[in-house]
Amino acid sequence: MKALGSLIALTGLTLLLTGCWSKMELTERAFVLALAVDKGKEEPLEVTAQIYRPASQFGAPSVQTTSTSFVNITLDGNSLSSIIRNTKTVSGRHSQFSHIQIILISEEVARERLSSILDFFYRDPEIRLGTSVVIARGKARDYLAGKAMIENTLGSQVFKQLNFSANLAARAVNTTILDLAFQLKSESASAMLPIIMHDRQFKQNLVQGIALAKPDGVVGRVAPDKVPYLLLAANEYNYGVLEVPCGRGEAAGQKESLEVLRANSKVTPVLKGDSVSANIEVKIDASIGEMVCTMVRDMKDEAKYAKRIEQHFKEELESVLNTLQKQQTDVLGIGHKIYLRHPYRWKKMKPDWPETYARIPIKVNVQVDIANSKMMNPGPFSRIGED
Amino acid sequence: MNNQSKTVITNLSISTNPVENINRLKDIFKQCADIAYERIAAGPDMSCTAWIVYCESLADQQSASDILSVLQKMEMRRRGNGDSLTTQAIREWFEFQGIIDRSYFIHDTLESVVRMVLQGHVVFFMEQWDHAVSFDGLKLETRGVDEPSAERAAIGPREGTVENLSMNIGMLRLRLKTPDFKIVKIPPAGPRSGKEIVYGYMDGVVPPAVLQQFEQRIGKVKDYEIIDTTMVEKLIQDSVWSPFPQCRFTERTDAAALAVLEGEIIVMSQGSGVVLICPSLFVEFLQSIEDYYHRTVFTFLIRALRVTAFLIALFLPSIYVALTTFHSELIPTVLLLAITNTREGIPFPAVLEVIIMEFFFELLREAGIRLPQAVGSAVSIVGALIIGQAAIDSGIASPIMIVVVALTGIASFSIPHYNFAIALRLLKVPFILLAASLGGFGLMIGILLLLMHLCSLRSLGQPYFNPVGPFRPRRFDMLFKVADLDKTGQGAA
Repeated sequence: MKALGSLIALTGLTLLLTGCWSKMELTERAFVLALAVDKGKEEPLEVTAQIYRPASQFGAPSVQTTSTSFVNITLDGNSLSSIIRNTKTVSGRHSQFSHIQIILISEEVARERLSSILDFFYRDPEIRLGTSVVIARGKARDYLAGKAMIENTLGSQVFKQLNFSANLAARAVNTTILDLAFQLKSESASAMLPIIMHDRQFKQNLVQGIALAKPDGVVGRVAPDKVPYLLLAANEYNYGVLEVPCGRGEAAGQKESLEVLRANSKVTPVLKGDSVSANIEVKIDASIGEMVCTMVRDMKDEAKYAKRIEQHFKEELESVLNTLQKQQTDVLGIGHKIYLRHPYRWKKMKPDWPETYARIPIKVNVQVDIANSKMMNPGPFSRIGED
Repeated sequence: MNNQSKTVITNLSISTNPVENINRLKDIFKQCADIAYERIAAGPDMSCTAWIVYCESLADQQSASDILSVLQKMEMRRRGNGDSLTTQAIREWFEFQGIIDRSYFIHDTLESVVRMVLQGHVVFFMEQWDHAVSFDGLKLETRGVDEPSAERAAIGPREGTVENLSMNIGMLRLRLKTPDFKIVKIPPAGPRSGKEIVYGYMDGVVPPAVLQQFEQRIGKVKDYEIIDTTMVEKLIQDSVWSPFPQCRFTERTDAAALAVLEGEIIVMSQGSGVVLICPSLFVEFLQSIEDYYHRTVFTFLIRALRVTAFLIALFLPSIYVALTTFHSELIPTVLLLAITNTREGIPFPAVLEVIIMEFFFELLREAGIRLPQAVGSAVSIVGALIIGQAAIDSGIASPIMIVVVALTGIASFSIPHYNFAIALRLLKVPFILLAASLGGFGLMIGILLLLMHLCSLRSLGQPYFNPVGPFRPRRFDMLFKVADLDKTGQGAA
C-alpha cells in the first residue's frame, strides 16, 4: 500500500516537471522548408516562406499532378519573428520550422546587416543550427518561385545543389547557421557564405561562389573559378577538379585537369617581434584527369609536371589571398590562431587587426603528389609513355 | 474452489459381506450409469461369491475378465483344483504376494475403493475379507505422437507430447536416462477433478531453494480443482497481477528435456499434453528450442531479431504517436513529407487512428482463432480487405498507420512463446495512451515503470529480469548466445 502510494505520488510529481513540447497533429502543422529574406518595398524586410503542401490522397488524381507540392507565403515587416508569426494568418496552420533546409538571404539585405537578422534563428528552439545559409544574388524569393527540377520543393532543390557544390565540386562552401556564428564570433570575425545566382544564358540557378562576410554584413565575394583555391587555403576542400593551363606552344589556351583525391592545408601565423606573417602549407594528392599538352614518360617527367602544377596553384592561391586581404576578411582564421597561442599579445593587436591583416606577408607553399594516372592500361589517347 | 464433495465417504471400512459393500457402493454411485457391478461365484458348490466393480467408460472390459484368469492361474499353480479353493486361500495369495502378472493394490477403506474405480481400476471384493483388491484397467484413447502444431520447427525432432501422462513421462525418460531425473507424483488435485499431477526435475542441477519453494507451492494443489496443467501456473507464479508470465509451456519433449537439463522444474498432468516449465525468466521467453539446433552465428542473429521484435511489438505504435504529435522534428525531412502526404485528410488524431486500427487488428485476431478453420480463412480475407484497402480508401486510416499496426502484429507473432506475446499486446495500449498524452516524456515514464516492475519481479525467487536487473554484463550472452555444448553434465546453466 505504501509502495502504491509512493508510486502514485511520484507519477504525479513527474507531471509537474518542466518540459518543452507542443501537442499538435501533423495535419495542423505547416512545414516550412525554405525561407527567403529580401528587402521590402516599404518595410525593411520581406520574408518568403516555402511551405510543403501535402498531396491528399483522397482527391482526384488529376488535381494532384497539376499542382506543385509547395506554396510560397510572402509577408513584409520590421522584424523576422513578427513576420514569421504572421505567416500563420495566411496559411491557417502552425508554421513548423524544424525541417527548414535552407535560408536564402538576398545580397542587398546581407550587405546591410547579417547577424541582427540571424538573431531570431539562434533564439528560436525549432530551427536547427545545422540549417544552411545562402546569399542570393538578386531577389532571394525568385529562387523559391517556379518549379523544382527533380526534388519536391525548390527549397530542397537548392539544398541539394549546395551540398553537391560544396562537397564534390568545390565551388561553394556549406555554412550552417552554427558555423556562421562560430566564424563571426571568433577573433577573426569573418565568415564565408555560399552564393546562389541565376544564369541568364541557360536560364538555371547555380550555387557557385563565396561571399565574404563580417558581423555587420557581406563585404565582398570570390568568383566561382577562384573558389577552389580559397577552399584549399581554408582547408575546406573535399573533392573536385582543378585546372592547369597549358602555357605556350601549340596547345596554348587549352587546359589540363587534375582530380583532387585529398587536400590538406595548415595555416601558421608567425610572430617575430612586432612583425606578423603567416605560412600556408597546402598538400594535395591528385590523379590526372585530362592531359592535353604534357608528356609524362617517367618519374622525372612526373616530378617536373608536379612542379609546374605547384607553381600554378601557388599563383592562384596568392591571388585569392590578395583579394581576402584587400577585403580585410580573415576567413582563414589567422587572427584567431594568434589569439589562441598568444592571448595577451592579441589583446594589443586586436583593435587594428583588420588593417594589420591587410598588410601581412603570407607565404604559400604547395605540394602536389600525383597519386595515379587513372590508366588501367596505356590506351590510344594517353600521353603517358608515348615517344 | 474450496467446496467439499457432496458425497461423504470418509472412513467407511470394507465389510466382510460383499453384498453389503456393493450396496454401499451403489448408494455412493447413485445415478452413475457407467459403473458396472458383476457377481462371480467359485469354489465348492459355487459357495464362494465375489464381486467385481469397475467404471465401464474407463476400464477395459478385458481387464475385468482378467481377474478371473488370475484366479484360474492361481488355482493351477498353487492351490490345487477349484474344489479345494477357499476364500482363505485366495486371501493369503494376495496378502503374501503370490505370482501374478499384473500389479495390484489392496484397499481397506471404501473411500480408496471409490477413488480407484474412478481412476479406471477394476476392484474385486470377496466374502469374508475386509479388504479389496484392485487392478489398473485404465484404457485411454491416445492419439499418435505428432509434431505439436503450435511449436513447429524447421529442424529437430518432430516428437510432441500426447494426452497420456505415462507416455509423456516415457518420452522424457528416453531422453534423460539417469536416476537423477526425478518424477514425483503428488496427491491428486481437487476433491472433484482429482487430477493426477507429476513434477520432474534433475537432482543436483536444480537449485535446492527453488525446488523447496516449488514444492511448497505445488503442495497446495490438492485444494484446487485443476482441469489442465496450464492452471497450475496460477499456484506457482510469484505475481498474479504482472502482465508477464513466469512459467512457460511447451508440447515438445525435447524442449522439456532441455529445460530439465538446465535446472528447471517441469509439471505434467494426466489428460494434457502441456508441459509447464518453471521458473522461467524474461530472456527465456525470447528463446526457442530450435536455437540449440542451428549454428551459433545464426542463433545470435535470430535472437537479436527477436529482441528487436520485442521492442517493436511493445513500442512501435506509441513511438509513432509520440513522434507525429509531439516531436515531428525528430522525423527525417523526406520521411516526414511522405507521412504528411498520407495523413492529409484523415479526420482522426494519430492516437485515435492507432487505437482504431489496433482494435480492428485485435478483433480480427480473436475472430480468426475462434472460428472453424474453413471459415477462418474467409475472416482473414475480409480482414485484409477491411484493414488494408477499405480503411485507407475511406479515409479512416493512413497507409503508414497500416504499416505500423501490421509491423506490430508481425513482431508479436515472432515471439516464440504465445503467453509472452499476450503480455506485449496488453502493454502496448497504456504506452500508446502515455505517448498520446505526454509524448516522449510520457513514453519515458512508462518505460521506467516497466523497468521497475521487471527488475522487482521474481520467478520462484529467481530475479526475472536477469541479466539486465540485477545487472550482470558478463551474462548478457544469455540474451543472444546459446550455451556451449554441455560437457560435464553439471547443467548448461
